[in-house]
Amino acid sequence: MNKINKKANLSLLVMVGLLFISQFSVAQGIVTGTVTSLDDEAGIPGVNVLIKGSNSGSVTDVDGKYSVKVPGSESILVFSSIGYISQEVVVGNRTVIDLVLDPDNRVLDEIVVIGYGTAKKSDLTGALSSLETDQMKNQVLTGLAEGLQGQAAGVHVSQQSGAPGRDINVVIRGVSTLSASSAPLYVIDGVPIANGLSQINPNDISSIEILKDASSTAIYGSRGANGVVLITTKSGGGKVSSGVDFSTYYGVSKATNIINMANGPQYAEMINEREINSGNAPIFTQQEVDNMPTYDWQNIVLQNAPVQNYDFSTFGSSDKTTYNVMMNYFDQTGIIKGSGFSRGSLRLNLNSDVSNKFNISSNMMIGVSRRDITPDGGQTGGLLNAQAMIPFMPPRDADGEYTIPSEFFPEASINFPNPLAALEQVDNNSTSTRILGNVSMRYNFIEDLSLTVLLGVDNQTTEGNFYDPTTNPGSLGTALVDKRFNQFYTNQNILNYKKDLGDHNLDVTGLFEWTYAKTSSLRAGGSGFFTDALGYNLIDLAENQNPASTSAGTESSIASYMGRINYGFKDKYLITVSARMDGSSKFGVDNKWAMFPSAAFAWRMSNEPFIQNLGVFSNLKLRLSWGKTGNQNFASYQSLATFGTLTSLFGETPSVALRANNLANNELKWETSISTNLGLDFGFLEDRFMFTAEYYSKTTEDLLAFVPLSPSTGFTSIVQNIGSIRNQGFEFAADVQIIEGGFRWGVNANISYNKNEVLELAGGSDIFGDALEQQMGQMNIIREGYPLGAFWTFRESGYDENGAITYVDTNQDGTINDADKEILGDPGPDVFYGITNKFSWKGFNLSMFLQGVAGAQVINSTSFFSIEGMYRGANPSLDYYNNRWKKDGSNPNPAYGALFTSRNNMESGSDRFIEDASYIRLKNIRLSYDLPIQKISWLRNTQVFVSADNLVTITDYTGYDPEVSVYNGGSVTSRTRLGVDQGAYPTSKTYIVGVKFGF
Amino acid sequence: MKRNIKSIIIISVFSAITFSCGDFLTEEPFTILVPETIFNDINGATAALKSAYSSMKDGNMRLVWTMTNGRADNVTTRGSWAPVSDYTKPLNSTNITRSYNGWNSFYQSIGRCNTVIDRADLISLPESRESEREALIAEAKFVRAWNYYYLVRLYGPVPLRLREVTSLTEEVLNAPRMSEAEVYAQIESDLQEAEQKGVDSWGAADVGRGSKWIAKAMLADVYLTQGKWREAKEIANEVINSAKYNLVSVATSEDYIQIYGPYVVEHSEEILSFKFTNSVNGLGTWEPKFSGPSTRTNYTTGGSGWSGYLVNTDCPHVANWDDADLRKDWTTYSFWTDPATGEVIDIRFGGVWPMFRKYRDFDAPGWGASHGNDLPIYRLSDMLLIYAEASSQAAGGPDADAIEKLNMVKRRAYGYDVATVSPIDYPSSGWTQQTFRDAVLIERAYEFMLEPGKRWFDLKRTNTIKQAIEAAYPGQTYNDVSTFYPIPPEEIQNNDGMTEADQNPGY
Repeated sequence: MNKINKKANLSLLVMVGLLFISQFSVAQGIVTGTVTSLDDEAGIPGVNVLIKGSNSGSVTDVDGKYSVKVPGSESILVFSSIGYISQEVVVGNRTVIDLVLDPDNRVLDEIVVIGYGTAKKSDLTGALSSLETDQMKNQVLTGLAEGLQGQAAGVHVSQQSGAPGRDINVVIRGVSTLSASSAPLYVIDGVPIANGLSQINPNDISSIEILKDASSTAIYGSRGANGVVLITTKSGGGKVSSGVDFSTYYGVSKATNIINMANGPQYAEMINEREINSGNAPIFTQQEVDNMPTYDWQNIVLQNAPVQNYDFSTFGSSDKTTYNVMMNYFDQTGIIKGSGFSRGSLRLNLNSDVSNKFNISSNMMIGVSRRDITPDGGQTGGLLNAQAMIPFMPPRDADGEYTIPSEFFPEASINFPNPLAALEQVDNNSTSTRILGNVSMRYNFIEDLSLTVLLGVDNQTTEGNFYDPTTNPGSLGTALVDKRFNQFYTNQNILNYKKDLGDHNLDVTGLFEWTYAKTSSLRAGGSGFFTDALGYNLIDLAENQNPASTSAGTESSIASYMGRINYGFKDKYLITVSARMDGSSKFGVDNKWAMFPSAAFAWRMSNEPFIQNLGVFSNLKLRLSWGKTGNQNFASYQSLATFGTLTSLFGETPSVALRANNLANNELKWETSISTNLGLDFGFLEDRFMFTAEYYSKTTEDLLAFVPLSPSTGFTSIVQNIGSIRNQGFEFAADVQIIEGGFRWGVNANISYNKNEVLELAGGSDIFGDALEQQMGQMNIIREGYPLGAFWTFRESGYDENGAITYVDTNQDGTINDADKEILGDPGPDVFYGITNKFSWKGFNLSMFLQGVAGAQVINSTSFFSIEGMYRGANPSLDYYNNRWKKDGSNPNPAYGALFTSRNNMESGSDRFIEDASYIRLKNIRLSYDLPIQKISWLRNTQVFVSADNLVTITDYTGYDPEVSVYNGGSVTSRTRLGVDQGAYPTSKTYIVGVKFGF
Repeated sequence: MKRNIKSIIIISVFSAITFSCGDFLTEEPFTILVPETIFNDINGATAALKSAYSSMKDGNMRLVWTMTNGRADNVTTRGSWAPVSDYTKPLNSTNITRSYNGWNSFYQSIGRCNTVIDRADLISLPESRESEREALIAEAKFVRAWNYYYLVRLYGPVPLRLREVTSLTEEVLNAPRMSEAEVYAQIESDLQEAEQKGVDSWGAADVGRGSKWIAKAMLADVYLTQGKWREAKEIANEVINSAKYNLVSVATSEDYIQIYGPYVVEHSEEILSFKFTNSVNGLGTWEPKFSGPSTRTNYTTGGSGWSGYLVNTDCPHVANWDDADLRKDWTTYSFWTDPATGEVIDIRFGGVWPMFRKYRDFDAPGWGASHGNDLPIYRLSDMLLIYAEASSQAAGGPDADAIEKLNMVKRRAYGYDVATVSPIDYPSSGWTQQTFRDAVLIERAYEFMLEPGKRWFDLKRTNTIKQAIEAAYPGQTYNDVSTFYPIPPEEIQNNDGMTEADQNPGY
């Protein structure tokens, strides 16, 4: 059921209740009128129109019209509706009373989605953030998750990459796993979805609730440990009986930041110095050096990129049915040539009260998205490649052919390709088609008891296509086609009993649910094409079937029972108790089922007379919760002994051989988190100032880890549940109206602090991160007593007589080796925050959204060219040119080592690469104006707006962007390489102008 | 309306009953192979055994060969292999890691054999093909024995893992090092089963898999190593007299291509070789890469061989190597003639050390695991020399038969007919047991140079390492630390049956 309908239904319920207790009703006259809303001047349906001091009244129809019998002219009409500030009007001698209701942006009794049901916000006992989706819709969002950034306390959102359409990393209250996914569970209109959010149009969303503490998430059991994001899409019911909305914007993106590189003469000068330092003759004469041209390679691969978006919806309602049809087309070109993202989506949300007992609703979406992919991170093809380029080399030669660095200037010993050639020539794209939706039926046996059956589906087909044509220097023509099919089905059966017995409020939910997921994939390719004409579309043309064809697939299922009781006494004491039993196919045969209980208590102190007597608080609520949740978001079949294939050779004949992949573990189970939460909500001045403070502690045990085995078993490790991690933190959120009236100023702010600590690892032994690019080596470690993925490396001590970097011999054993590495930082931000300022005046709205993190570090591996001493000819940066070590001692305080033709043996990752990645960013600023168009009958509203994303970023970070980190995803290998900027696609600044019409 | 309510109640009740039952949560991997599927039939079980051979010649194992060849007195090493030829101190970290990885590969192969042996019962076979099950078990035991034979000689006493590991039982977690005698007893018992129940021979597509005769040949070697002379002689003789193998005749050194060339599928004296090909990427050997650069097409521009191995000319038997021995020219070289210009280039490393070229593949598509040369494990010449040595050792001196077997190997190497008396024959009299054994060992050194581990193991079993190394490396004093390779610390840390004291001396 959608939110607005709920509001309407609730109003109806209240109304009915009031009529029921009415004692008398005297008809003396009839007053009619229309109730409209201040924000869009549309009629408001379902407004209660009550005669004060009586129990009689009326309710407005779908157009906001009402008619009510009043006892006399002294009667006072009370107009109230959820979402609006109530008003009282003395009837006097009027027979027509039209009224404009002020929307109430801080309504306490909003209905919020809590998972398998809804609750009044005032009745909540757990930690839940209800998001304002308006702000996120101001931004240019390729994915919905990006819009969560800075919007809710405790929710840390970071981008792995600024590439359009790349998935976003969302972590709620800290990472609490080593090898399972740390992503929250996303639930759209009741259906827990299996895949990313990139096909979902942000404009389809009406509300987002984020469940953070265990008492809220325990109802999702073995999938609840990372938090739950509940997304509700727009329904057709509302203030307007029917309408058409159209909005569009157009804009342009550009790089936020360029790294200053050495120019042609400077590069040539350094090449000469490199040769001289190595005992060779210089390559260029001074005159040649001075006359070198300069090509700005970063700008050669970057572009100003257009973005456009079109949203169209038609919606409406009749007595029984509401509908909303939404269409969207979005197209964003990337700031790196060759990259981009586009999306089209079509949605139908339908809700029908077939009878007063039977309701059918459906939310269905078909989405198509396409991503054009360029290398993201790494030193070939992307921005790092461009940085490294010989600055005096043009991108194309006189004949228009791509230049090849190693041929253009072989003396440089450069082994990088021409980045432009790959970006312009390689066709690498991925298209996803998705059907996501549900059909649900609800039957009310009696007014208080209902059974809801929901069937949900999330099917996605992804086609990855790659072709590297023969026109790309060095390519023989290589094609790769990768098709993936993901199916996900669920069925929920929810029995709900709600009873309001005066002082006692009871809401009991029982659930049986199953989900089934299946993936399959097929990959084929070839190389050696005599023509580029058909590319990946006809791999039969390839000379070699290399890479070889592969196929794979998985299945998983979960069966669950859940029960939840919400009980309220006198609106003061609120108790929630829930328990979920989950059985998962992924677990070992000895551990298939698990129980996830929770309990929460809230005390609405503001309803106690002694608080009311203080006259200070308009709301004061203390919340306390405890619960157990699980994380089973890891690959299927890990508990089984599985075999893989390899190729063996006997005689001259290759044949398939089968080898054991891993040992079985019949005891394998979910990771378990036990969390406690202490929350305080308080509001002043009729909730004009509202605040929430939370403290939480989440300890996750039974971490899934690769535990080393004695290799004579034939296996080097086994997956076991060993280890624990704790996340503790504070959150603070404020929603205040500083100025009200004609000119309004509202501030919405949140700030979060999280401390992550690894408490226990298998055998107490460290887990080392994978080696980073080039000679950086391992720079991450997972060690007991430290945050996950802490930075572990050498400290530099200066330069030796040859200008090579020297390192601190921590243990003073005379050699520099891993034993000298120290923990010198960690990737998790200590603090992250978001502040939204909103100003409005006579149709003008200005919003400013600032967002930032503090106390985070990043390994800036993009600067690794600067320790290479140009031995392979990479341009090491202008800063390097200005501050390098000089053989003649002319630079007494060098910031970089010597130039040299061979790799210095001790070049390594070190503290120089660990940079403060704190930043504050003007994420979005938007100015809009609602045109005064009341006289145009066919137009409901018109708005024009201008907006800018990522306009200003204040940071000490010297790479492209402090937020971007290539390895931040869910896999164990990426978790051991947290917080590493290895040349990821940077974020961009985007400016847009747009217009919205309502018909 | 009644129908509505019926429909949704039916759905929810049906759903609750159907999907909460056990089957819904049972993982039946339809894309992943599990033992239940694989061992249902003989083909699956055979494919599982084939992977045990893959571990025997995987990248880690090949590095162990290179190290162990480099340990021999007649081979010196350079680059990252240099510490292998320094017998005065423990290996450096790079080569220690190679040793660790080798250990893991040996046991990986053993684990794969154990899986086949323990699950062979599951193979469904008609009565008439029951012998296939026995043969498969026999073959698996051969592979297991092969791995233990190398383990015990490289690492000394080692844990004996004879059952498939399926869960972490006490027995699995606690596997102490067993004495060398116990390991040899297991090797013998496995090989005895293999030589009785193994397949007689394989078709062309299976050459390189263990058979009855391969097991016999290896058993001869195992007996010889333990000084069981009579047994060694008898079983070597059985192989020699089987008439299954004949020495390949050579007239010029280039004729050795019939044995070592990249396109040889099987040659007449081959008992067991590890098979490689240059036609499938990743299924080749990188052995030529460790030799000189001209083992590929072009010395000057043909890429960069690592020259990891060099010929140790300080070694007495290398210094005394007769130029008329065709093996010398096939195996080593000091000068290279550019076919385009006719220019002769001294390619000795540092102008001193000749290079190896025994394994060469001019057609290899790349420098990686892409060369087609097979790696010989047992050849008929091995049986002849085992027979000669064992017979003389057993009888207190050589008889004419033993001398003839030794002559056969030498005659072939000099281009003479193997069955006919030749000018380079060894003397027919005047031998003591010791002088004859010394002659056999030198013949073995020439015959098996760079054939995995042969020379190093010969020095070990004859307790002549110290004297041979010190003679071949003037200035080095042999340190016993070089006798065994180090055991991976993961083994010691995670095996309850081992403590730090179990590490080999010096590590």
